[in-house]
Amino acid sequence: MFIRAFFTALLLTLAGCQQDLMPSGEDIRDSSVPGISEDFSVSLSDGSTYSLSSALSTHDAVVLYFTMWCPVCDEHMQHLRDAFVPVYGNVQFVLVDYVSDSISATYKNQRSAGYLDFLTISDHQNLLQNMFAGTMGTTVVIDKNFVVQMAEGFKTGEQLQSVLNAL
Amino acid sequence: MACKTLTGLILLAASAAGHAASCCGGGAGSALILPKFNQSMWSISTTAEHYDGYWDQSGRHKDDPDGSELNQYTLNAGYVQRLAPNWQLGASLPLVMNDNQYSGDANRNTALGDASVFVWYETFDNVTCIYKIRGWQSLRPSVYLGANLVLPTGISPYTGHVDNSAQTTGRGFYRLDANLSIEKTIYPWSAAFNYSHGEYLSRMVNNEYGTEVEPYRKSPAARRSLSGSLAYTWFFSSLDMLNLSYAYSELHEGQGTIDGTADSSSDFHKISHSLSLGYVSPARDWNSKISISDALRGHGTVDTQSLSLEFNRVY
Repeated sequence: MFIRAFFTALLLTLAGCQQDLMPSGEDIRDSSVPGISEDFSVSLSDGSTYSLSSALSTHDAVVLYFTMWCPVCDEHMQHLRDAFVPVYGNVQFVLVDYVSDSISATYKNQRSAGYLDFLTISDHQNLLQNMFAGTMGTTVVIDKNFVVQMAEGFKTGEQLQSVLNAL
Repeated sequence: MACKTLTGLILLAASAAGHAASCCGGGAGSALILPKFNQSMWSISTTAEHYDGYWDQSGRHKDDPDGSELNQYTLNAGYVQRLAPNWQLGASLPLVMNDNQYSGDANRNTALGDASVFVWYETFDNVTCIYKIRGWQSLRPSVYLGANLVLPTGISPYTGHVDNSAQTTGRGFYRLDANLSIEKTIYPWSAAFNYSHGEYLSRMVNNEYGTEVEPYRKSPAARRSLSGSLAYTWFFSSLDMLNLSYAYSELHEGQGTIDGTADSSSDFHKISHSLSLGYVSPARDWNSKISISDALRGHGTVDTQSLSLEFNRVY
């Protein structure tokens, strides 16, 4: 009886978890992320204000990387620092802390993780998170015309590289 | 914090590892294995795991975000059935609860973890535990060869139900492990060695942490784990036993690929050790164990401490 109950529970479990048991390669993206970005002004971790239009007036593009200061985020940010920042001098790379609940918490986490050399937005009011459907590792590229060229996970950085090369 | 390696961690709980029921192994074993002459076994275990920062890819330890308190609790049910004198088949199903305070943002979720189905072949016909060495033949260990299939029944980053990796309860991939377990008991001492090599089945991904993404193929690298343990057993006049064991373990996964390109964020290595105190009943029909485990070092992985309780009923 116990054996039957256990394996029945196992089968029911499997039947209810089809998303991973039978993964789909179908493209299910919708168009909730805007093709054109609105201008925005948000707070940086040092308390100053960051304005998209201001940044784009001096750079070819802005790259926003959504971080929650985790190991995967750390690897991605290290990759940005080593392989992108030195190569794309006229692109501004900005971290977006969407988990800290205050500017001072963002600054503490940025310092603790060792990324004081990056501009870091404290998105404690979730403005950018909502605007770009940002989540762990989301990477957004906005060009000089405010066109959102990319809003995807960082993955290997290959897509970011091809988008920046095409600017 | 708990990023990619809820990977390692959840999966460690979900796989058949982490149990110990090989009564004749003196408690040094680490796999859910039915004792030689028993027909079936139930196992219930629970683990409380605390996350305490992480090691980056260079091995440097970093703290979790300020104000974070990350914990994961797992309740694991397992069953093993003897199919033939040297063959046993089993399954385990974990229930996982994440209880996280992440940089001031509280979050709690409960869901199934990744289930496992496993088979063991015993390469020996008689119990190999001895009290006294009587020639080379008596030194023959218990060698088990096994296979373990991990099923992606948990909530992974790709199911669309979570915002970040701290909320996942499963890896999202099928994995097939080849396992080797070697145990030898010369009372009161026991030693065990376990090795496992796992291969993941690559899959398509079209959702990450609740965001639809351009579909891509993800292929994690092979997973290798090894552990060694040493135990000492005390016998009581009522024939029950108490054993204390120390185990050292390493877990490694190399760089996987995304659409054929190396994914450097997937590489991790974790070294940990544990101390366990086990009790075996006089009739050998049940046993229990309490364990504490601590991560020592690694790279690309989380720093954890855990406390586990386990109860096994043997028939």
